[in-house]
Amino acid sequence: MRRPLRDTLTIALPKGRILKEAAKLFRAAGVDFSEILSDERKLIFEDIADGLRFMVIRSQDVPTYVEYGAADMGIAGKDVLLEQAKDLYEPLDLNIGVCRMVVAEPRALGARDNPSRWTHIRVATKYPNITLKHFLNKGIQVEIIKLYGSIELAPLLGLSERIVDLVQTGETLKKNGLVEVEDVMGISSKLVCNRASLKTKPRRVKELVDSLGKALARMKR
Amino acid sequence: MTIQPFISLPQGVRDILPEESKKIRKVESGILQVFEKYGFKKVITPLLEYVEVLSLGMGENLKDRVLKYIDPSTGRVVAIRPDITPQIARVVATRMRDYPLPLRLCYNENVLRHQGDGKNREVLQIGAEYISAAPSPEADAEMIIMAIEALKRIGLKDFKIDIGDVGFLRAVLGRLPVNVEDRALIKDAIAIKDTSSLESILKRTGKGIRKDDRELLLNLATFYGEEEVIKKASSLTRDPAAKRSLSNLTQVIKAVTKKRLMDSVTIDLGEVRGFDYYTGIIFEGFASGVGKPILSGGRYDNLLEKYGYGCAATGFAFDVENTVSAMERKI
Repeated sequence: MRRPLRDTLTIALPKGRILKEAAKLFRAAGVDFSEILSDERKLIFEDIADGLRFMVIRSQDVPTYVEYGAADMGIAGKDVLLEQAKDLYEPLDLNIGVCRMVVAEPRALGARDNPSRWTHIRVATKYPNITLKHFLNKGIQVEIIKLYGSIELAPLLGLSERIVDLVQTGETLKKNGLVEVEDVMGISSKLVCNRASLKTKPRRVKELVDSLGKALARMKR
Repeated sequence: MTIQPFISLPQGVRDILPEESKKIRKVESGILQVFEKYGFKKVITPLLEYVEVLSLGMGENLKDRVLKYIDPSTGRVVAIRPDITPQIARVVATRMRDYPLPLRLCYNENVLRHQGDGKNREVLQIGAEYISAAPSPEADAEMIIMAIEALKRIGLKDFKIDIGDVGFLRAVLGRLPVNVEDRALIKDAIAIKDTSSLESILKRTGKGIRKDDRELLLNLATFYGEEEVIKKASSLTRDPAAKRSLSNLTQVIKAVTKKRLMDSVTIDLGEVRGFDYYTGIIFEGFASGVGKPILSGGRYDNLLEKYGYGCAATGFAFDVENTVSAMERKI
């Protein structure tokens, strides 16, 4: 018999690459995601594990669902969390989707550039809030050009001199003739939790955090 | 029928039609009846205040959310109140000094808060303030018990009052031999229960921090849930101020237990909400299925002093609309 909703945790999972990595982690914690991975049209999965209900949504939407309590918990990248500045708990670093956010620019510019002399720069990025904060903290005026993808194109076509974006291996930057000039921060995916859910279902939340934490520790070994 | 486009409302405010207004009234009158039973007397405070006066009694995060204008006749900056508590503090300190303490006051008013993105939000509040010569766990307990009784009276099921203590946290953080920036980072990590960031900050700042302090910090993010966490925390600290806070909290819990209301209570020693504003216990009400708190409050012993009257105080307020939506949820 299914548990009543008030005893169930609804978990928002992000579509795409992170979902596959999350599946490995949940498998190590005894939850099989093969039904979620095999059916791309279905959005809600109720019968995968006792007391857990999963929903699969766009990664940028995860913090919103969790903040409003439509989902109790979720998996979200630190980049998305910082950009959206939602009021959520982040009880576990899942160590998946690991990458870095950096400032990059064309190689020719990078050769003679000195970030400590910047006073006013133009930057293309998917992350206007993080970018603004990063440069404000250094006292640099920044003109931000918000883009939704293919950020590396911006300097090539003269849209901006620099970009702020995620890098994993640095291969994409290299292919587009860009070099990294400044580290903004390290990024990874977090298990996030709605405040009211943690307060009203503390045991269920703790159980899940513990079992994923243990699975993580086993996978590291 | 089409409505002319310019006949619209600013973001964040709304009309409440008879059907909904009826539900709100029911919730408000239930809560006020319980307040009255406990001897709380209602006061009515003005919509406008001078910013400089109100600022004496506002927490830092609220100061950024005040709607202001310059009064053309005096050139002074006037605020639309974002919170009633500083008003009550002002009223008590300036108009009610000859009333005997303890003073039990309540209110039912709307406040306006700037939300960012050029939006405001009007909030309907019902709150209570208990002002006494000195702080006491009995006063803290009375407020929590009264909040639970009010929620039961209006027929809300499945809610929790979550209790923390910023006095305890302040003592724990205060003894760390780290600089101001790192202390802020540690506090921010605790605020979101982010143990891994906490670990890396402690690794970096690390050497001077005692082993038991480090263990306590790393455990704070998990010290939520049932009352046993108070004992666990107590066993990890020897700091006298931290111990005092925990013993006050234990007495509050005892009083709630005596009333057989512990089913409605959870503890969270890692809660840092209102850290700069409150001085002792803090609490918030949550209903399952509603993402936002339905009430919040705590002890603020420094507030009245700022208006020139050195009294202790503890209080809380319901967010009426969140409470009504908690009543309506389908669970």
